[in-house]
Amino acid sequence: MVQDTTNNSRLIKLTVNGVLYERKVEPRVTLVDFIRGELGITGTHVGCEHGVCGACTVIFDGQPIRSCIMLAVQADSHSVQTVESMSSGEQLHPIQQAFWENFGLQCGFCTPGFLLTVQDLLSRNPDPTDTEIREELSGNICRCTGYQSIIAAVKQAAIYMRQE
Amino acid sequence: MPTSILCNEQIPLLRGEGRYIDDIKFSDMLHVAFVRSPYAHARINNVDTEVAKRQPGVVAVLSGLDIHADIQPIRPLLKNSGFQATNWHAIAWDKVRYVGEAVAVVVASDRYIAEDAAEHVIVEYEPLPVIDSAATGMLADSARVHDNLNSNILLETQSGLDKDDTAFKKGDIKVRANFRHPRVTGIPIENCGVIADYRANTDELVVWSSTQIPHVLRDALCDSLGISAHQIRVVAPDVGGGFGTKMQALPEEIVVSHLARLLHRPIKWTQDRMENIKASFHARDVLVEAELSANIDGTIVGMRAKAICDVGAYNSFPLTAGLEPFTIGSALAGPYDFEYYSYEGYAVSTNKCPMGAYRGVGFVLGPMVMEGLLDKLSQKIGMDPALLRKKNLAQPTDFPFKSPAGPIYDSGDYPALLDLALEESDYSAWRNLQSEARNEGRLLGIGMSCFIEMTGMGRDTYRKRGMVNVPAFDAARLQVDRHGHLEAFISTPSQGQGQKTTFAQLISSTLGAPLDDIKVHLGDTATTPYGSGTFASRSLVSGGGALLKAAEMLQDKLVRIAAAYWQVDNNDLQYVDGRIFNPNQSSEHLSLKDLADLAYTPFQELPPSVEPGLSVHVSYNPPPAVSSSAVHMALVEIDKNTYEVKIKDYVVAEDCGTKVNQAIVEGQVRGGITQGIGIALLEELSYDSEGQLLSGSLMDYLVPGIYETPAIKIVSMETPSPWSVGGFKGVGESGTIGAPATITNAILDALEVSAQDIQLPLTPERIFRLKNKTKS
Repeated sequence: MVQDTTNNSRLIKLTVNGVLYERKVEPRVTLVDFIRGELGITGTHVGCEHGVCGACTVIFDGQPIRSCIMLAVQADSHSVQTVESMSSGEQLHPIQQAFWENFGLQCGFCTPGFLLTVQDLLSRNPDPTDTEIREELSGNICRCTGYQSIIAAVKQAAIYMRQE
Repeated sequence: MPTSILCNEQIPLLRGEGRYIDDIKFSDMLHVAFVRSPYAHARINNVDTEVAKRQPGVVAVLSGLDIHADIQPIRPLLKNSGFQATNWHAIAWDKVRYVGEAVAVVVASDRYIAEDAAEHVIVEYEPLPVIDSAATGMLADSARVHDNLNSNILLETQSGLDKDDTAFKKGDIKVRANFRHPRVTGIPIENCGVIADYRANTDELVVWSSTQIPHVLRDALCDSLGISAHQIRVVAPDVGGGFGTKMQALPEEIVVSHLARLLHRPIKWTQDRMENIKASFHARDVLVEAELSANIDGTIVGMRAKAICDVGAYNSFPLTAGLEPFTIGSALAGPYDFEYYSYEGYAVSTNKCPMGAYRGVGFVLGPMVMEGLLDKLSQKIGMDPALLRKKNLAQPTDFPFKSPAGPIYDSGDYPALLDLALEESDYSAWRNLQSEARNEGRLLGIGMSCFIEMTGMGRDTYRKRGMVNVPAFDAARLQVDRHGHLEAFISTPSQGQGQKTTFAQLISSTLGAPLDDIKVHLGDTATTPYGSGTFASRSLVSGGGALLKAAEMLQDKLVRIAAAYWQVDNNDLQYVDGRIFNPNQSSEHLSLKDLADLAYTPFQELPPSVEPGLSVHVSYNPPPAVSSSAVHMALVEIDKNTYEVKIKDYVVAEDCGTKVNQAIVEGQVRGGITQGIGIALLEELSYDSEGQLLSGSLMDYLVPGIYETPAIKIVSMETPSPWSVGGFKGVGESGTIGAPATITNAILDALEVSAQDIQLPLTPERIFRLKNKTKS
């Protein structure tokens, strides 16, 4: 996708959603542009390109990070999970299911970033309070919902996941 | 109804399978980057593209002069004697008029290369005097944004000024204040984007755009490119929020379309956030100076107001610079009944980014001004703010009610809605909390606003405004296939508002078909019938109205087919819950599938008046407007030391007529309020005197996060509109309209000051100044 005009590319190995990719990439290419453009995995969205909105959040070695302010070469030998990793086949992940049932999204553009941030939250804290949910989601912007339905969705997801 | 049916269209979005503009790609696709002006106002003396063209991977570099002969400027019209049209060239060639205006475009094999090459385009500018504000622009000796115009005033409008003002003077008390709404923008999390692909085999330019108005954008592309509509297909794929900011034709959409025809390659432009904030559409930036006249008992006698709107450098398509001044003029009287009203509004061009629509438009100024003045009046005469409002609201028996500001409202029960809000909030308990807080030296305030939102506006309203580029109707095509499954094609696309579900619910409830048998198509000019698009809270009223009419026509046709089959009279038959019973044999009926079979197979003879097949197309001109109403109440606390505002409670009582999906309505209201909170407390696009944008990133332009947004209680009434098909009223903007006034009033109440010169957003610094200026 990104054409190398500088002959400066590096070979990187990167696991995305369990699949190992080996690609040559220019050092300046951001992780999100690499995942979307080079690998064609487009569930991760670019909202601001300066690390504020949270739409591009991916899980990097188990931690949520902003893929718009990380370079693909920095992800060499690491592992990334995107929203595409959440559901198994037709079955929605409990967090996705809870977002759907609680109208926790409208346009859906910010949603992948929220889902992955919530996945990280619930892995550490299976029963978060409203305050804790607000704290953990304060780095993700949604312009449609007013967040209330997102908080409801997180609480519902926590219940589903505790039942699993 | 109004059942909260879940939205199936969201499932792919949850799985990361959405197809937004930037997710679409073609193997031979090229990417563009725009070179943008660093000057707010300057003559372009030369654009040197030679070095840029030589960069590896660059396919073309074009300046404004290169495309000047091929592309007509954006020139929306307004049939109004107070209007001045402007020529907005998709790429500036002689002058730039705002920071961020495009001066050249680079086409390359990828975006990184295009952006690198853009750095090599050398532009010689000759800076000109900057018109940095509407106040400057209105001065008689001001420099001009457009040399060929008589002044910088693009629109001047008045209403009621010719009236005898004895009535206004008669009032015992006058209160006045200035209200400044900041320059803001919508910040959809998806930036704008466009891909154009010219297909020679069908002589068709296919344009994918994150637009709210596919058909109207196609009109704009025809005008600019000089080709026919049938040579253009506009497709809006999944769109990541719009809020009005995606309902204007973008210069970039025109340039990218032109490039696709020129280069015969698919061309993509994805706006970045800096471009979105600096060079996409801004909104509002309005000063309203207003005065209210009232009697000592609290009865409003009259209002006079003047609005000055800084509309930036050009008229935007299709609404023009008239959008804000017209809307404000019709909005200021709100739900109140009084005698005298006079208004003058000005749209003033400046060297700033052009102005477009954003959720609420001038309706936001309605409660900001009126509710602000009412609170000031209540302080002056010592009457409770709720009581004062109740005294002046139009009564349910007044409908159709002619607002003092001009428009006619269809229906509502404003006093009952206010009671509902007072009850739900437990207003008297809030006042008790406030007394306690004051005794403790805390700053706790209560704000309220009663307001209306004119929605789903039809041709009469746009004709009156002279807005010739808005068709103002919408349309639906509804068809049953030969297996009895339904498809609807509607002209009001979605940017996330759940239209596919709402429309499917309408079809399901009128034709008795299960939701799984219904598919709704939106956002493609090749498949959906011509119509206005999604804006001004019109999807359900206008698109849904067309759909209901189509369902009615389809039922009529089904009855005629059944009548032919049983050889009975049409009048003996009724389509109920998806079937028609034989009047002579009550055990026998025809289902939708049976009827489809009769309509499509040649075996059933049909009368000459019944065409075979089952497809209907209806265009619907909605009423001039149908008015939703709401009352918002907020309890806020201001931190004594930091002046940070905490919204402790927020209550909404709303009435948007007949509802289809309760959860979708509530989502619109809550999302709208959140954007209103941004306007009240956080969001402001500020420029310096040289026309440089100072808040060009999301680090500087702050939008509400989850911390700033409270839980919001919503209670509902349903007063169906007697004017619209289905009794629907729009509700998409209601939240944004009510929140700025409600929060402002709560803050002033907490500070125990009255409105003088209110500038939103009320940042901690501004609250500090409000508090201390009053004290000194």
